[in-house]
Amino acid sequence: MSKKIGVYVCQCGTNIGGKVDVAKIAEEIETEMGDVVVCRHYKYMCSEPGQKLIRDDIAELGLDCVVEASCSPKMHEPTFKNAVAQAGMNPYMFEMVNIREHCSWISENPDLATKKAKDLVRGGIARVAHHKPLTGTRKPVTPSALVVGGGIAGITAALKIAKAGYKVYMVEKEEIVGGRMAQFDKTFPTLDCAGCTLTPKTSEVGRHPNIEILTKAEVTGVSGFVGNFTVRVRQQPRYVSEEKCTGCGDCQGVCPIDVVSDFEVGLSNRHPISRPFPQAIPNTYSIIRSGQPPCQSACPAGVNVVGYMNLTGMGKYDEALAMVRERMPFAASCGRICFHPCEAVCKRGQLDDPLAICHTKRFLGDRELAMKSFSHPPVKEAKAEKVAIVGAGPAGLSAAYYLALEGYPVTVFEKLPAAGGMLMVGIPEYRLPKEILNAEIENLKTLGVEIRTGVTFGKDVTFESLESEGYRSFFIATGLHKSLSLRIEGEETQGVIGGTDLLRDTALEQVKAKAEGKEPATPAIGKRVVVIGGGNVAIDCARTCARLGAEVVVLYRRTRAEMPAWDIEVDEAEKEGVRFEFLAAPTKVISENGKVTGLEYLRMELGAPDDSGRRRPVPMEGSERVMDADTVVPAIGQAPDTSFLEGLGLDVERWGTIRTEEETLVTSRPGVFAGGDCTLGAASFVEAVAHGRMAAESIHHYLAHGGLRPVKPVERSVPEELTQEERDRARPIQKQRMPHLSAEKRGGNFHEVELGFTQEMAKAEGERCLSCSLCCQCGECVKKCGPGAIDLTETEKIREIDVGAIVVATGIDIFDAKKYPEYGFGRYPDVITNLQFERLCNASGPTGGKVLKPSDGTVPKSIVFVQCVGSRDRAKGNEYCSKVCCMISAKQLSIFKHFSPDGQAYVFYIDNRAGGKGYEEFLRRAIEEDGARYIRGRVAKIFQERDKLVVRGEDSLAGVPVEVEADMVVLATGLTAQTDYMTVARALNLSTDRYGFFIESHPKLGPVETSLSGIYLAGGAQGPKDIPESVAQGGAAAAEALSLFGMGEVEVEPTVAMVDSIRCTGCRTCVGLCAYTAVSFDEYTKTASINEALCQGCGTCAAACPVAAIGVQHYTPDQVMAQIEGILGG
Amino acid sequence: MTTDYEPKIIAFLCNWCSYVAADAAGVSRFVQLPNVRVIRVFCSGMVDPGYVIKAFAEGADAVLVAGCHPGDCHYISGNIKAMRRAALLDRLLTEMGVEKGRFRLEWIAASESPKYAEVINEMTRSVQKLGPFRVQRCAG
Repeated sequence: MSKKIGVYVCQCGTNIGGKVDVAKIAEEIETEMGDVVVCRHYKYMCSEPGQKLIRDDIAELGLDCVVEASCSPKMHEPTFKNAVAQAGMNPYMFEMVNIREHCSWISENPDLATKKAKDLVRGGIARVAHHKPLTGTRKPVTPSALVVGGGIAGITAALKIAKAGYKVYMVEKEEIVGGRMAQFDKTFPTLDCAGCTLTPKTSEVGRHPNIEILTKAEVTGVSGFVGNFTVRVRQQPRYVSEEKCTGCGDCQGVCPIDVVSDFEVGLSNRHPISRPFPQAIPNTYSIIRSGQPPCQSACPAGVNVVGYMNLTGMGKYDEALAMVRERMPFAASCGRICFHPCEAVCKRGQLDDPLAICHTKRFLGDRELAMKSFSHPPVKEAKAEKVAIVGAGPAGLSAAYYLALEGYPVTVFEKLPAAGGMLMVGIPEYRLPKEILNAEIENLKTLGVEIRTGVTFGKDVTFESLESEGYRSFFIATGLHKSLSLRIEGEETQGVIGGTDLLRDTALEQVKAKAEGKEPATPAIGKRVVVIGGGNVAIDCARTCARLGAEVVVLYRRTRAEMPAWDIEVDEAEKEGVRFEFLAAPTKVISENGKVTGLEYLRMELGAPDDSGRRRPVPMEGSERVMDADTVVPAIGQAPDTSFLEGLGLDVERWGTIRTEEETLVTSRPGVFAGGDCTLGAASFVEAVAHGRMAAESIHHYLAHGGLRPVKPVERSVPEELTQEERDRARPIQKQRMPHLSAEKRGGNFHEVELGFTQEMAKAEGERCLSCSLCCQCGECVKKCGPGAIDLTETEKIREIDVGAIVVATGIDIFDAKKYPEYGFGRYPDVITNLQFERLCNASGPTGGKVLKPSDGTVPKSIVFVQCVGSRDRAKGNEYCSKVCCMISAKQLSIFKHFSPDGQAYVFYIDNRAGGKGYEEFLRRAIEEDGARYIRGRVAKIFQERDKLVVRGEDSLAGVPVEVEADMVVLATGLTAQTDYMTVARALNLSTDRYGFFIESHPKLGPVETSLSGIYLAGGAQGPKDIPESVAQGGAAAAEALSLFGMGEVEVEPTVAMVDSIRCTGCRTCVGLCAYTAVSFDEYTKTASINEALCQGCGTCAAACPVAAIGVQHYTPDQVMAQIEGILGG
Repeated sequence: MTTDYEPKIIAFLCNWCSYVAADAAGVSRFVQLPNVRVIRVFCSGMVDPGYVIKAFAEGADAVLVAGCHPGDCHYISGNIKAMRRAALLDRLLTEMGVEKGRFRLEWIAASESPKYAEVINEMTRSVQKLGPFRVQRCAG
């Protein structure tokens, strides 16, 4: 049965009518489309006469449906739905077509715009024929509000809502509320003290029982709808308890870090722990930290590098070492052999050289060993549960250290005759003296750790035997000691000795000889040694053999650039006489009488890159050569000793390593954990230590609480790019160079090559740290804080908050004056912005309220104010007027005149804009009473001449160029959108204009509403405005929220999914798709079923239904298909 | 650019992001080529592949589906489902003889009105280059 459709095309004055020929559309539609019984056009359909046209037609012509073609439905859909409802029509029998925003306003060609509009109208007509009467439901409003931004607009909104008796959550990005106004000194046009008017408000916000302030917090997302939002908020820690902090300020005195103060707009420094000003709300201290610094993130053990480097810089070596030891028990060893990934990412490296982190750590370790002391945190109360550790390498010993500190009785079982694992038998003496390593291992024993060497697990002891001895948990860290074979002919010949075997034999011989007081016997190597491989083990073997007097060649199949060994190691090897043969791969070991006499090898060339990104070596056919050799040392990698693993009953990976859970290191056997190389494959010392500590935590949790420990959240990272602020902060100290034993002194002995840093060198390196994380977590403030209010282990929190209304009052930022390089901001210290001038005037500012030149602290005699810096300037991308700068300059020159009555102020202006109550009179006084000279014209250039700044511009009224000498120049910088406006816009689905200001729903009649019902705007976030306007908007936004709360209920559209149970085949495709679990499978009817209370109407289920059995009401497939046909059928 | 050929493009816009961006582009008077016909949907995840095929069958020269950026979906993850469906649909359309470039999925946030206008203009021009869409009948 066909329906009677009425169509109404709005001219919207010239907004639509100026581009789209609405009369033509109306005429053609009426003749072409059968169901259309009436099609009218009118100048303003939204006006009362316009609406009456529709109402009358419904009554007189008995229309079934109505199509309205005008502006966006986001604008007037409610108006028209209401109009048809008044005439007795179900509002869902109405369809709105957008021919303004989507057509007339964006089209250039009137004919094509008319054609487009007509297509859209046809689509609407086709669609509306399929509409069905629907009834919405009503849902209660959550009577609480979220205010985003704690400036004066947000404060006003929050107080008004709170005072009406509703809960308010105030989310503020900074550590205090007050916003920009907190930075100002006085306000125009009354010269009231900004602080005196603001702080009563901030205190009220702080103590109001209905207001909960969330500082250092950001909104990350919102779901739901008007009256029923769920907001996701991410809150960075303050690290200082608001309950415990007394505001005494003792913490500030001991903080070693100075960073530029944002609150003081760069005029002075602050410590990361501070309180911006005495009346700040919350009135407690807090710590700013930009995240985990790259060095700490890169460190597998997660050592707080920035912390101990800064402590070293302060000369607090004991504290620095304690900080290292929180995550790395072996500072002296680590400082020698770590591959220090921290240094590769150190942000100082972007400026000059990265910090010598590793060498500094070695100094800290060596210093303590030299003093023959060992400091460690106090051992906790002794526990009964015994822990067995298998393998006395870095992983096992680290686990032993941390478990011993927890109070557990720990026994370490080691197969070899000496403890230390690869540190002992893999790293040669000249890189890590056994004496140093042994001293660090001896330290462990003082904690009660028992190390039993020469005990093979699986043979001498087993799980069962140890369990019967009372061991409750196990940590397997047996390492990777078998050399990978070359798989070439002749590998079994005498004279072929695996790299790790060579190093181990050499080391054990040295240990044994030392114990017996003898000279170590020379291992069985010949005079001409070929080492095969390009990693650090290969270089260690080469340098070891060179020390034993052999002629050494290293054979590597790629080139030097691809070598995984460290550059410094290769350099030192070359100095020691080791020769390198690149692009060569062995093919056969040549022997005579069962002894090696040479090595046949093949020349290689580099082909396409492989999976590792390195170019793959490709053999060159027929390039075989033979190299004389009596010893061949393959050092191409290590493998786990799988024979030992087989008997353990633990799951293993494909490569023979033990299978563990990455975060907890638990194996397939309860109570047994594993870590280090035997789980990772050939890894590094520091990764092994990291595993040791991780295992200790897991074992402690397992023994103390049972089960697996929870995984801790990861702190966000410091931004990678070096900032200007960090450049400025860097102390001009050169990188310290490690002194080396000269090459000629190395032959025939194993003396350590790197000689170590002096105290001065270590301290200098510490001072070079940029502290890019801001707070370095050195812990000095924690020790100083009497009430124990500081907790540096706090982590960011994610909260979900249910609110009915949201007020967005995120405020403004200040235009970056550096975009006018000709004005010299940032180059001349006495060229400042007007916000900096506010801080100079402010009694709590850096000069205590005196207007002084930043360069020399003297009183300026003349000041030039430059207007429109970043406003009304198309070239800089800011065409708009910032609205407040004319008045700010008038106010500031007035303050200057009061401070320095002899002073002279000049203002270069474009137009004086003083629209506002009392504004013009105030400006007049600045000119007449304060004697300011106003010069109309733009400033071309500011430059320094002797001790004066010269401002060159044009007096456009007189038509002459002018130059004014000044002691200080104040740039009246414009207001811009917040730099992170996009984050807020994305989180809340707000639209912005091209400058980043949020768009209100109507420029005249909806100044605080947005296109999203229930979300309101206030203050500078919507566009530049002064304090009274921000306050007024804050109040208006509060009124919107309150009227919503007053209604108590909102209508929820009936646009939920519906299942056609006859079509539904019960395939259940839809069930798993629903993000709200609103779709379930009805076992009785064997069809899908929708829970309407949960359904949000997104239609994902409908789109997936293979038989089109689901449709969202009012967006059914019939309706959309008809709309497509209608649009394209014209 | 002068061409007599004016393609018709159907754009399914998410009510919460791209539709708002399209409105904002209008408010900002960002000039757009007049070839796009917008159909408002609640979520890009609501766009049944059948709608896209229907549009081509009814004579559309191209189809755009625009939704919220991944992670920003008003309905948690509808856009992700749209993304997965689009990948499949893309292959299906190719099989059906619809050239690459005639079907597109874009993420356009409410705040990205300049991007919306750019996408519209760029897509229109590239479809103009492709020429009118004609169903290529498969042999057999």
